[in-house]
Amino acid sequence: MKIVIVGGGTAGWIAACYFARFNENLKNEIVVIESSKIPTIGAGEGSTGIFTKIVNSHFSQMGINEIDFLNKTSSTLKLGIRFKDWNGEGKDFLSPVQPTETTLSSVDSHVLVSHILGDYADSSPSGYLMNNNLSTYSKSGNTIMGHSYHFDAQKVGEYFKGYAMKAGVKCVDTEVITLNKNKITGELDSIETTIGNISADFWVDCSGFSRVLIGPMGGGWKSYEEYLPTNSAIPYIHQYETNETPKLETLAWAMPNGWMWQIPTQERYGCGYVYSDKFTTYDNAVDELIKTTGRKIEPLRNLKFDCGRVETPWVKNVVAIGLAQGFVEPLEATSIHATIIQLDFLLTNTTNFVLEKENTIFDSNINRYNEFVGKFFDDIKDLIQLHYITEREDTPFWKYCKYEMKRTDNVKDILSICKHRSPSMLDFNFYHGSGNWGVWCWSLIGLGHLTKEVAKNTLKAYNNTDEQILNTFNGIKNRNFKNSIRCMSSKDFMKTLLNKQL
Amino acid sequence: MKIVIVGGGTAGWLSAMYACRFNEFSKNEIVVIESSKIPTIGAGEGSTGVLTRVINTYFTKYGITEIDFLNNTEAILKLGINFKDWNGIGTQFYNPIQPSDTTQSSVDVDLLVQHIKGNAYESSPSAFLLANDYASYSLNKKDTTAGHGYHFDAHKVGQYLKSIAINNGVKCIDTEVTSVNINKDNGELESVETTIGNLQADFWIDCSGFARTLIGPMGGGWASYSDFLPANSAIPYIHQFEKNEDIKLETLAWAMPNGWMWQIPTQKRYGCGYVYSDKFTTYENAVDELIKTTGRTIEPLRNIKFDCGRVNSAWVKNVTSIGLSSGFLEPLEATSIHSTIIQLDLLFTNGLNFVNKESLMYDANINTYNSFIRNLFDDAKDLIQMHYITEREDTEFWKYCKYEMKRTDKVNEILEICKHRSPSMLDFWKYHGTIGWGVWCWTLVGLNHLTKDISLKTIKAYGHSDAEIEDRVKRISHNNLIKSIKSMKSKDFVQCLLTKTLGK
Repeated sequence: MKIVIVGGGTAGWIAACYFARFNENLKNEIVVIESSKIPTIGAGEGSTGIFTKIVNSHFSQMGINEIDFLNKTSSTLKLGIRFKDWNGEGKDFLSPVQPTETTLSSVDSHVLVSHILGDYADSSPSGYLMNNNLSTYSKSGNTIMGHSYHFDAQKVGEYFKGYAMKAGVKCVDTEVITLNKNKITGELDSIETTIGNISADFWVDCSGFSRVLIGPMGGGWKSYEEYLPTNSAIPYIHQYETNETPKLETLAWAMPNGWMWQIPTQERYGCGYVYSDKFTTYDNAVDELIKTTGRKIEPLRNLKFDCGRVETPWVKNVVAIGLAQGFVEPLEATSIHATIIQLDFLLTNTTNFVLEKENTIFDSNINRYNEFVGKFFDDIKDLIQLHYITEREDTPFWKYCKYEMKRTDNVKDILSICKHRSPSMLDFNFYHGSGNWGVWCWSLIGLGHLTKEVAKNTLKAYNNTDEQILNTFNGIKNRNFKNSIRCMSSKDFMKTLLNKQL
Repeated sequence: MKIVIVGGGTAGWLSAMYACRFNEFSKNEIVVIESSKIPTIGAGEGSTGVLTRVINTYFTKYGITEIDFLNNTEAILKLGINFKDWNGIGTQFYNPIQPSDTTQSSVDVDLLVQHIKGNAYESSPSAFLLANDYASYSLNKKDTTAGHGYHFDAHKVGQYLKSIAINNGVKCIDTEVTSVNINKDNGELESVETTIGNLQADFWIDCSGFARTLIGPMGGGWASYSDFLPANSAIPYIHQFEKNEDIKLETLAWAMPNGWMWQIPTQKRYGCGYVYSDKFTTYENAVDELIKTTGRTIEPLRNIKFDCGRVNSAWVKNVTSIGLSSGFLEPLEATSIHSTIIQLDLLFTNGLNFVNKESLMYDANINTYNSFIRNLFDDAKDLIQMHYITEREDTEFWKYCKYEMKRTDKVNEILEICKHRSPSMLDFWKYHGTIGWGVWCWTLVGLNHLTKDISLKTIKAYGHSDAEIEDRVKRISHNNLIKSIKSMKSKDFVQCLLTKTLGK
């Protein structure tokens, strides 16, 4: 089969690697169309633990590994996200990459005990390291526990491009002008480009917001506008001060009309203000940025977006992956996460595109894929909405979020449950890539929805005595103490990383 | 809080045990109403691996261990189900308790390579032991060597749990419910009238089986699966062991002219039953079919009529239904006790172990519970239907199943996928108690919906060479051989059970 991937960003080149992975005898011809005239979106991007898995295991036979990845892409580690000012000024909470060791139990005793007696983020090994400016690398230079990465999408795209092309993927520098759909089968036969006609058996649309293929193929659109308040972003770059060592965390800083991301790579911060243009203007948003951060800001551009997803990401012989499939603001680093889960699912369902076309593209395969991706993305939307339901009501924007925004069923259920007991994994769907209790717990506690009192009542209802609670707490402290001895400080880690001595 | 459980079968007494488990803190009054006049349903019951977990870990502080359970209930191990004659007379396949080691991978390589070699079951350690007359107990009579469930007599298990529950403060009243008093203002069940007077409670658990004594009047509703599942009747009977009979540690599910027969061994005898459709045969003919197919004299215990389906709302106000009262599927995959346990897991987690009424009864809790239970039953229904789509067309019944029966969306989807590639765990939703690829695979392979050809293609598409496939087969055989060397023969195991020397 001939497979054409349209778009050469992170999604496009990771997709190319996935397609190349089981294509040793080059049974399929794999082509990526990328235009040197179309810039890649992104001023800093973060990932979840899933990306760590693909860097360390999925593509190892292609020569990819973590240290190679870090060295060649100027990426840094990410131990978690620091949410600043979300529940009012001066209040931080952490969302560590690594869930607790009891996250799959019917009562997550580690997070609850830590919540009652100390800092709940310490219940996650990586949360404790974050709190203490440590890294997830041991002093002898081995990686020891859950982290993901901060990176520059452009560089990561280039990195995967290098390996994909080594594995035989071809790259054509051109742009799509029009599509030629087959009138009888409805399939996409070929496209016209600036350098002529290109045909393929299967198409992967990684063209980002422009949705070059899935749009005309009738993918449709389901907007999350009712449920998510923001629709604009102002990305900018912020240079490090001399001798500044960045923390190994994404900063998500609540602002008067949205929030700002700040993502460290080896060279600089990538930042951006995600806001709602219904509550502020571009000019005011820039002023708010300057006022809140005390920085000089040079906006790269003013991005407009509609959070939502394509109704049918796989139509006939075209599938949309990454931003072309859907978009929610980067609050929980779900973008690259979703890209990887979609590719895992797509390549498994299609048996890696090694079989004949009729064994790859058939209704049940397509329906199951669309059902899964739709639900998966809708669940992400619920998690993002949760962050906006805070104690803040200092601006009309935050008042709107608290009192007027339509809440999703899942958010309503979970918030209602939090008044009575701690939720647990049983309250969430868990499937490949689902963001369930292991992620929700941090925001629920951080925003005060799950109080210490309810946490304690939950533990008590499971027959935990005060002594047992204290024992569990000491056990966690002990584990953290041992980790603190083993791990490099984040400063030393950054120095080692910059000297390429990892 | 006062909690009243109506019905004293397996579901009722298991519910009582769950209620006991964290009662040191919640200090509830727990009452089970059971009538000595109402018999417990069941002529032999099998479980999935979920009951094994409950027996081995949940109630250890009450002294419940596997060996204690086996010794006191006449239960024996279940390594899997043996499906006989489903794809035509003379065909056979196993559905073992323990899935293959690669069942969670995006391609279940172990299962597929063994399927290609003609022995899919060898990818499951428990099926390998079963097929070679081994038990999943090691020669030291203590450790287990592979996953297993149990075969048991529901009545005896009920009694076993009852004595432990009563020792731990649960009260038992021998009476029957005659009517229910629902509060007109808030819709809650306030009290029930019984043959010995009025009984009140804060929360009610309906374990009354088919009678649905509480959930019926509370408006639980009903969704029938009769469009999708062909059987609606059952003839249970008891069959005694021959002298020196070699008991296999398996449920036999034997396809019959108009349905199928279960045969479940306990320590003393077989519990059997013919599940059939009265649209295709009569009770008398069904008994004749049984006699003819098995060559046995049959003494039917009764003729049960049932409607496969589930209640729409398993939890209404302060009443929840657990077990048969919440839904029923024929016992083909032992889903009954399985769903009872999953329901209790969820109910007691969601209900915060019943500390007080406020932390138990609120809409979000009730709604998430009900939608979970609906999915659990509906998904199990898909799996059961799968078994009826076979190559058999020797009777009107099997022709109907093959050509006319309305297929569920999931069955259609999976069957179409099988024409192109092997399905995997990603094709099934995953949740606590989910019945996914790890169970479906055996039936799909056994009924030849997933062919060797497609299996080979799927593995090849993942870059596995012929040499790698051979290596894997060798490794699996080697591991199985080691397991069998460590395990007791099933004959010796049963002997141990009967002499109560297990663990000694």
